[in-house]
Amino acid sequence: MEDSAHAAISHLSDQENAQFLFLAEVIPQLVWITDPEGYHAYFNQHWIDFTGYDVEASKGTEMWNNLLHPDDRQRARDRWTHSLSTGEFYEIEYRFLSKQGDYRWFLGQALPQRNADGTIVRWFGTCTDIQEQKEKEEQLRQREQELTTLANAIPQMAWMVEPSGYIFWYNERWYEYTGTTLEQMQGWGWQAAMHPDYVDGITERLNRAFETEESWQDMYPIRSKTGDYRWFLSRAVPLRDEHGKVLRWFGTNTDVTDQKQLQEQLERSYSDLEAKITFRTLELEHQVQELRQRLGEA
Amino acid sequence: MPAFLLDINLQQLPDEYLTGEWRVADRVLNRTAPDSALAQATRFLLSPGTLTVEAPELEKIGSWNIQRDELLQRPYLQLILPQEDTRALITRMRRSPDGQESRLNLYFLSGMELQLTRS
Repeated sequence: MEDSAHAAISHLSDQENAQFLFLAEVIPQLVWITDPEGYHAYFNQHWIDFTGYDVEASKGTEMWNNLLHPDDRQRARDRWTHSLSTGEFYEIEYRFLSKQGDYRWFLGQALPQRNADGTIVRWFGTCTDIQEQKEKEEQLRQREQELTTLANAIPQMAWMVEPSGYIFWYNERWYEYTGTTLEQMQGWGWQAAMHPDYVDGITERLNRAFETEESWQDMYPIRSKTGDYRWFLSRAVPLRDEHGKVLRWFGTNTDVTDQKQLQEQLERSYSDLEAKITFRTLELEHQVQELRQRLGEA
Repeated sequence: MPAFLLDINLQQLPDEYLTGEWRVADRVLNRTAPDSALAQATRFLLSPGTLTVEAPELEKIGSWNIQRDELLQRPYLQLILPQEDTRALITRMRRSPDGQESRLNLYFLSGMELQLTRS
């Protein structure tokens, strides 16, 4: 490997050679060097340890690509060809086959080295293992998917908000009820679905909750896609990380129109009954007074 | 689009909210004589001081005014027609924010209840 390494960086002084080789072997990445045409001439020990192929077996223009996941090969080839032809920074995420037979995700990056004339003389590249990051991303994506499925299954309308108050997601029930789209509703677009008489109050109380990071609850009418309004009990709670920092808010709107109407009807019935009794009693007193007056006159 | 109606505070009900042409949307007669003009009414026209009651093949003209009593938390109407002189308690009034649509619930001394609408 040392011979090939020296050959690949033969333009450098012995001291620089030694420094480069030391650095290339110390850093945790897979390191490689190609000529201006993309011929791979050098790989560090990490490459050999990971792929199971030594430098001789890895040399050339194609071997690296053959070790990629089949789904990534064409994309990587296109990206690499583009950088070779333009001299632009090379960056890509792809999966390399390990000597154990499994694939791991890497972030591939490469920069051209140019001579005094500006001509590319070689490319220095690294592959950084991002498997754990990818797995975390996948876990996060799955959790998001589970949350979305759950949020779409509940009978309430639901939405998610950035800490700034920008709503970036609604569940399907919201769109079914309001007949709107995410483009119309994202950010503060939800105000268009509220009754105009309530928008200012809702906005003020909601903003206060975002500022104080305290749970929020309110009740107001929301317009349906048919144009009529129904009453909703709305709640939002902040979702925090392990340090207590608010990551986002999760909110729901529960249709309480029927309960509200029943409650109002009950309250009104009592109130009406009391008023009707008073009304009738007053009339009765009025009639008694008239009768007394007539009797007195007689 | 169906109107969004708000309850009006009856203790602060402006008299002008009552003027206009009202249609009878619902009624419960109770002990009211079924052949009286009020029991058969399909429309009420309340103009300042003048009451016009329309029923099928019948029209009666009389007067009306709003009365308030300290004991009652809401106003009531004095309705005077040629053969009828009665009072009706306003039990509820709802109105759209733009005032284009209203609903009025009345409770008469006879026990009759009317729901009137205006749009």
